[in-house]
Order: sequence, then structure tokens, then C-alpha cells
Amino acid sequence: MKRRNTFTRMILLTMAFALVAAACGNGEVTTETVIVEVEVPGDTVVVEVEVPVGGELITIVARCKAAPPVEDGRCNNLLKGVVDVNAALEAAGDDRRVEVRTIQDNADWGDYRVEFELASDAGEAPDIIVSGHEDIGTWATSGIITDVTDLLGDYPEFDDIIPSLWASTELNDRRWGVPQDAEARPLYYRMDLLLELGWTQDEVDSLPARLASGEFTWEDMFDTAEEAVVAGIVDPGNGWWHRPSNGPDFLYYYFAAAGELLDESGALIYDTAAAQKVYELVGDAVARDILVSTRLDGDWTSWNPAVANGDVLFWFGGSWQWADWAVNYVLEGGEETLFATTGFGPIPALAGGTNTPISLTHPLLYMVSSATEHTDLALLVIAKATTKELNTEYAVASGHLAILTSQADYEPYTSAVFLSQVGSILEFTTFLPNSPFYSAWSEGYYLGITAVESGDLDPAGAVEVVVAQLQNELGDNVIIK
Amino acid sequence: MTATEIAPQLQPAGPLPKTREKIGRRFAYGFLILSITPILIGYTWLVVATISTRTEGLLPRNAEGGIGGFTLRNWDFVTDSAIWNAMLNSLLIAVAMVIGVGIASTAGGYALSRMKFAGRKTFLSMTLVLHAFKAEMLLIAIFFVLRFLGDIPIIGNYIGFNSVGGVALVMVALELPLGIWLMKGFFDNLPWDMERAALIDGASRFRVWWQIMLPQVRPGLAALSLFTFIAGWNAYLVPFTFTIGTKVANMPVFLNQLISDTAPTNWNQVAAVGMFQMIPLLIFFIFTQELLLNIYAGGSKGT
Amino acid sequence: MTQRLDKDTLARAAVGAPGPQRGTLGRRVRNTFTAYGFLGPAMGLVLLFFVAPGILLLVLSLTDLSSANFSDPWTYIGLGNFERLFSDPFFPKILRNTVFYVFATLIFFNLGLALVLALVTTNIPRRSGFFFRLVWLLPRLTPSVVYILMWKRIAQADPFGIYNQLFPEFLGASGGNLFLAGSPWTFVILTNGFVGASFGMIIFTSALESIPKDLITAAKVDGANVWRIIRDIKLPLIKWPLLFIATYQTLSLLTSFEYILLLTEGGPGLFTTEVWALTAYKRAFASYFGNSQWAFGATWAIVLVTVALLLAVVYVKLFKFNELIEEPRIENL
Repeated sequence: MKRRNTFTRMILLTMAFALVAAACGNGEVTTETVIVEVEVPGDTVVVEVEVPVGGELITIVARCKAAPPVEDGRCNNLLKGVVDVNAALEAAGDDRRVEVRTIQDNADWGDYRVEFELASDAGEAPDIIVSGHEDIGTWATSGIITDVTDLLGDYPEFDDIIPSLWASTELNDRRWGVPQDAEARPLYYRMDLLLELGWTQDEVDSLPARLASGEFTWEDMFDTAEEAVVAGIVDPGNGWWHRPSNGPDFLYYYFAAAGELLDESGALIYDTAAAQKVYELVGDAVARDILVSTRLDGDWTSWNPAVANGDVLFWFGGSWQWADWAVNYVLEGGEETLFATTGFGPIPALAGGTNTPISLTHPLLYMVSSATEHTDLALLVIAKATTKELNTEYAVASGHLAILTSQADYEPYTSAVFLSQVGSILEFTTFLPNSPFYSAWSEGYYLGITAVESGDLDPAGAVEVVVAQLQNELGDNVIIK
Repeated sequence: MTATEIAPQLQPAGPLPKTREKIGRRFAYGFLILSITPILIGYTWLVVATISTRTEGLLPRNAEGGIGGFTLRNWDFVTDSAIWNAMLNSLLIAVAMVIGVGIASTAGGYALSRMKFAGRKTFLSMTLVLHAFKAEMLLIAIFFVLRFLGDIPIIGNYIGFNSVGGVALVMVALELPLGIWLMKGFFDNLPWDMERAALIDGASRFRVWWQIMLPQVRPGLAALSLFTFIAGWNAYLVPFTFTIGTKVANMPVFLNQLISDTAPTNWNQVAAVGMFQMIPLLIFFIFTQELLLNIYAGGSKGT
Repeated sequence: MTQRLDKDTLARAAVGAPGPQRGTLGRRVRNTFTAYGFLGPAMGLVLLFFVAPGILLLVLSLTDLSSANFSDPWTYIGLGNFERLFSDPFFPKILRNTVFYVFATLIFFNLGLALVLALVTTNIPRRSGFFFRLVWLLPRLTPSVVYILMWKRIAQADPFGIYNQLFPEFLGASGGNLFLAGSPWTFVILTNGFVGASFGMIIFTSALESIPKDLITAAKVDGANVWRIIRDIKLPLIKWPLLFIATYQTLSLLTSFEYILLLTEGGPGLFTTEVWALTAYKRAFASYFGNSQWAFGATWAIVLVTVALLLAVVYVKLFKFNELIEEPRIENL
């Protein structure tokens, strides 16, 4: 009993002190300092925020999906920009101050998207979300992200963004986000294996140029791969690989086969001729023993070491994988070995299709939730993270391309050899469509690829099944051509 | 009389029973050992993986491809505050479930076992039938219920979407059908004389339940609590769907977010985190084996 | 502080003295009220998290709710989703897969192996039997992600795969990925079965252990062999647990998909191992490029739940579970 009394008294005393302190404080102290400390693996961001009297400390919550540690900058750049944000507010005579809280993990994209949708509906949405640009199709339509078209002009930082990237942020001629990163999806090849196959050094060295000019075609690539398999330079099934699971990549096959995706009204098109060509292509690869029929096993664990260590001759990958291979998979010599053995260029031209080289970029965007009460502050936070210093740091660490024009001659970026070389592929780039129906379209289209590769269906049969599937899923929202 | 006493008098013809028994026993052990081989192999790999850089088959490999490459780096996460936060959330959910399922099942099981009332049979069959509604099937609908709960003033913040309370509540409800069924079985097995006497003496049902019945079903309740705890500790789908990011994440959600569809996954770290998640359960497991294996004793004696 | 029950009461309890039987209407009503008081917490939760969501699911299946109109009020579209479901080109395949998955896993593992394990472990010395049952419980304790990871590692292609490493020349080992190149179904059933079997095993074990020893002894005296003892004595005596497990596990398997999701995601190839519950989940929650079709997912779910409900009712009637439900012994005093 006695103990409790003492305890109660202590609490009362503390409260009294606090009251007195608060009363005195009002007159004397002009600012209160909030120290926000954010710890991430290998990096601690300490931000001091001074809130003036009568001012308000506003918390902006940002949600990111990022692979630690290389992609940590995606969220951390928002944190790092806070000092500038508050300086800008002070300069503008604004009494509000901002702190940023981030929620970062590395969940599956599908789950990550669902989470934002459920959170938005439940009134728990973060203020800023980073996601793939194609989500605009769904999210702008359902109204859970903000149309920022008319607000972007208030932030000069955004003028620096490479103009072509803005296309990915648009739906119905309105802009719904700000580009956060961009990447290249090149063709990689093993130079040592090509030499072993009897290519001259000249032929190997000129391959990127021949890829870019369209001289070395997709068909040539398959022929070479077959030769390598027949010659025993690579194991059967290891002549040419694509990624082991669904992803944006497969869309450029369709584009390469001259497939049309969107009509003028914005409806999606399923071009049966182009799709069949794609299915024939992968079926052909399996039949010629240059691709294993189980390549779509979803298993990156065996995929990465195989391509990084010369088990495969050609493969389609992403620029962000380069650093990872160098650090985690190459057995000896790291990036140096990789440069010595592995070349890259645009995806080769498909002679039976458009006959021009191709690639695809899939920018992530910072988007602002329509539930936020502070659209202007959220955009200010994004603006201050969109600087060449912060973005370069992120791009170099994570193997992503520049998104700002000023990065072109910014030394830390240009000295990243791989990035500046692979960046040339952007010339051939395409985007995913921003359509709420793309998800169903893509899954139907991909179904055909898995069916043909696994041998379940022939290409014509696959087209038939996919058409039935798409019509059932999308009804009038897909045009079968 | 026991079998050994009778045996000498009645020797059946044919092969000697001793030999036959021996063969039978050998066969039994052979079968059992074969049956647990995959489990043992799986765990062997798990242990090896947690302390090595990478593995090929069951062998740890170093950078040069030889055997070796042992490391404790996979365990670095124990210094990360996020994992302790996740563990705390796991513990909160599991403990809330143990309490919630314990109270609701013992009360419900008691009523179903000892009282006659309109709707009793319906409710009993329902506990079995409710199994058709598994969480997985109801997720989206439960979301709307949680959103509704979240709108209740004051308490809404603790039991709505994106709260540990909301997750625990859903999990409790989903474990109830089995819990009630099992507790009813345990109550059925109890003699009713003492209880009856107490009732005649004017004790209330509640007091009888609390003072006479509960102490007697303690072993059953303990076993149910253990299984509920395991279910809560390993719960993934519900906490994952109804929380945002890793702020309210429990251990399985933390574990899952180490695995990515785009970036490389450090599987050895995943193995280590998984092992770490299992440690409390394994400790439980060692100390409570008897209980674990006897949980269903009550429920099965339904006849 | 509540008062302890006095000695008198306990004494009377020990003798089992019958109380006066007074079954007035008022008392019965009061009893029912008390009973519902005890059931209150459980019923509240069941209403909130089973009944309400069940109804919501049905309502949802009649709308076109998806990510693209999530914040709009739900639009009624009649039976459109059901039409779409039944005209889905993969509907027959998914249905076949589901039936195969449920009954193969049930017969080989959750019922079959569970029974065999219970019979064998109760026929060897107690401590040994206990040990094996304990090991069999391990998969149940393992986080699903890690559990599936173990199986993937066992099945993986050279040089990672454990099976390929241990038995390079044996049954099905080709150096390739076993569950993809070989037979995905084998692994789907194995992974589910190794978790599922332990539930039945425990229940059967305790039922077998409660069979009076005299019965078995007497049969042995009569010269019955092990097989006959099992068939004529043990099995009939554990009939109820067997039926209970059959029912419970059918429903469990029918609505479960977590291990399949983690192992094959329904693949490889064209819906090879896709089961109904997985489709329902994927439609509502897991599409790669977003745009979840909540309403369509709910339609798959509600059809499955209805099928499961019907099955449950059939089981309850067929196996006469109502006989299991004995009348309470203290009804009115």
C-alpha cells in the first residue's frame, strides 16, 4: 500500500513540474526542437526539426517497397530531403514544419498494391506511395491518388526530370505522379563463350553496335544459341534465358512482334498475330533446346548464379541486377570479371516483327494519396528528394538510370561505368500502358507463354485459350484483333 | 490376467511368435524412420543454412566452391530492433489469442456440454460446419467488418484495420470452432456429481464453472492454449492482409518481407529468421510434449 | 473475494445425491438465458467474423467491386460474376484439380498415413512411439515459408537440390528441378500431407490408446493376427474419430491453399496445380500488376464455401454426427 502511495505521489509531482515548466516555457522558448532519427542498415539519418511558436509539426508518411540495402535510397531520400523542406518553408514564411516517417519493406508487388488499396479504403493511407507507373491506371480511376498536373509547376526541381519519363505518369492527359527511378532492360551475353564458339574479338566487340543497328537480330541470337548448345559450349536449355517469372519484360516481345496494345480510345488490344508470333518464338526456343521448358519456375535462386557465372550464353535481364551479380554471385573478381566476360545491348530486333531493337523502362513514381491533408507538403518532400545528388546516390547504389537531365554531366553518375553505358539503351525504350485493365491483359497474355513453354499447348492453341480467357475477364474492355 | 501369463499355455502353431514379432517390429521401425526422413533432411538443411553463406544440397559452400564458408552473418538481424518489434507483436497476438480462445471456448464448451437450451444442437453442428469458412476465403469480407469496427469511436483504433487488436480478434474468432469442439469434449469427460451438488446447494452456474469445472479441465485448456499459441505465433495471412507495412508486423510477416519477387533474396538469412521464429516454439515443444500430443484426447472421445 | 464452497456441498457431491427435479417453464427459459450468457463471447465473434462476412461475401459477389472502383459504392450487377466463373475456360480444370488434391491428400496422408502412423506407433514401445509422433509434429510448428523452403531445397535442380545430391542415380533424379520437371502434384500433396497427417495421427493415437487392453489380449488368445486385430477390433472402435477426421480434413483441404501458393503458385504451365481456393485468393489479392477483382474473387469464394457447407451437411447426416451429441446430463434442477 505504502509503495503505491509513493508511486502516485511521484506521478503527481512529475505532472506538476511539467505543468509549471510548460507555463514558464511559453514565454521564453521560441522554438521546440524535435529530433527525428531514422536508422537503416548502414545508414543513419538524423534530422532536426525546429518548430516555431504557433507553428505545427506535420508528419508525412511515405510507403516504399525497396530491396535493402541497395534500394534504401528510395525512401531514405525523402528523409534526407527534410532539412531542405523545412528550410524552404521557413524561407517562405510558412509556420508549418515537416517530419517524414517511412514504412519500407520488400513485400511482393501484388501484396504491396493491395495493401495501399485496403489502407486507402480504411482511411489509413500513407501520404506518399512509391509504386510502378502502371498502377496509375487503376488508382487514378478509383480516385485514391491525387492529380498533380497543376501543382507540379510550383516546384522547380521537377523541371529537371527527363521529359520522356513524364509520359509514364500520364493518364487521360493528366499527370498522377513524379518519376522516382528508371531502369534499362538489356540483353546480356557472355563474351568468353562467344569467343569459344569461334567468334573473332572484332565480332564480339561490335555486337552492341550491331544490336543497336538491328543487324544482329533475335533470330540470329537464337541461331547462335543453338550453335553453342550443339557445340557443347553451354548445356542444353542454356542458350537463351528470360526471367523466371512474370514481369514487365514479356511485353516487349509483343511490341517486337509488332503487336498493338492501345487504340485511340485507350482500350487494350490483343493482337492475335503478334501474340502467336511471341508464343511461337518461345516454343521454338524450347524445341531447339536453347531454353529449358521449366524456365518459368519462379526460382531466382538458381537463375542468378547461373547467368552470373557463365552457364548461359544469352539472357534478358535488368540493369539493377548488374551490381547484385557483381557483389553477390560472381565467384571471383566482382565487377571486373563481369565487365571482362559479360556484354550488353538492346533487345535484338525481331526480323519477323518490327525489325528494330527494343527495350522497356518501368519507372517507379512517387504518388500522393488523395486522402492526405497536405498535398503541397507531400509534393515539397518529393521535390527535395528529386535532386541530382540524392538521386545519383540511389541510382548508383541500385543500378538504376538517371531521371534528371542534370545527371548527364554530374561526375558521380558519369563515373559509374555500367550505368552510363547501359543508359544508351533508353533510345529504344517502351513503357507499360497505364490502363486499369492491363493487369488482366498481362496475365492472359503471359498464360500463353507459360502454356507453350511447358508444352501444354501449341502456339495457335494458346492464342485460342488466351482469347477465351481475355474475353471472359475483360469483356468489352479488350479488342481482339 | 495378462498376455504374458497366458502365452506359455497357448503356443499357436506356425513360426515362432517371437521371431514374427521381431520382424514386425523391425518393419515398423523401418517404416517410421523412412517416414520421418524428409522432415529430418529438411531440418538438417535448415540448421546448416543458418550458419553458412550458401548451400548446395546439404553441404555448406564457401566462395571457392569447397566445403565451408561458415558464418554468423545470417544472424545479424538479432541486433535489428525491427525483429524484436515483430516478436513483440507476435507475442501480443498469440497471448491475446490464448486468452480470447481460452475464455470463449471454455465458456461455450461448458454450456454445450452441460446445459439444455434451444439451439444447442444447431450450434454444435455449426462448430463443425463453420470450418467451411476458413479465413482465407473470407479475407475481403472480414476487411469490411474490420473497417466497420475501426469506425467505432474511441475503441475503434484498437480493434480496427491495421491494429494488433483487430488482428487478434479475427484470429480468435477463426480458432473458435475447433476450440469449442475440443473443450466440449473435455467437459463431457468430467463426472458431474460434484457440480450437481454445488448447483443444488444454490451455487450459480458461473461459480460452478469457474470454481469447480475449470480446475478440472485445466490439462485440456493448457493443451488448447498451446495449440492456439502456435497458431497465433505462426499466423501469417490475417496479420499480413490487415496491417500496413512492417509497423504492426509479426514474425511471419517480417520473415516474408525478406523474400522478394524482384530483388535477390538471401535465403540463408531467411532460414535464420525462420529458425529464430521457431526457437520459442521449440522450447515450448520440448517442455510440453505430453500436453501437445494429448490435446485431442478429449475431443475424440465423443462417443 | 468469492466464498469457497462449504464442506457440506462437497460431501453431498461425493455421494452423488440427486437433486429435486423441477422443470418449470420459467426455469427452462432462465437456463436458456444462462446458456447463451456462456455462449455469448463465442457467438458474438462468430456473428462478427463468420456470419457477417459470409453475408458480405454473397453481397459482394453480386457487384463489380475491383481496385479500379474500390472507393465507389458497390454496383449491383446481378449474376454476371457467376456467369463469368462458369464460363471460365479453366473452370473444369480447376475443379478437377481441386477434387484430386483434396481426396488424394486426404486418402494418402491426412487419413491414410495418419491412421498407419497411429497404429504403428502404438504397437512399438511407448517412448519410441512418442518420439516418432513428436517428430511428425515438427512440420506443424514450422513457419510455412520456411517449411516450403525446405521442400523446395529438397527438390531443387543441381547443384542446390538435396535429393539430386543424395540420390543422383535414384528414382526420378535427373539433376533438374524435381517438382517442376518431374511431377508437381507429388510435391503439392507431400507438402500438405506432411503437415496434415499429424492432426489425424494424434487423434487416432489417443483413441487407440483408450481401447481396453483386455479386448486385444482376448483376440490374441483366440489366435487372431495383427491384421485381424486391426480390422475387427481397432478400426470399429475408432470409427467416430475416423469419421470426424474425414469430415474435418475434407473441409480444411478444400479451403486451404497457402502451401500451394508458396510452392507452385498454381503452376507450372497452365493451371497445373491450381485449386479452387487458390483461384479465389489470387482473384481478390494477388495479381502481379494490381487491379484486384474483389467481387470476382468473392464469387469464387462463395461458391466454394457453399460447396463446403453442403459437403459438411452431407457428412453430418451421412455419418450421423448427431448421435455424437449426447444430451447434457444436468439439464434442469
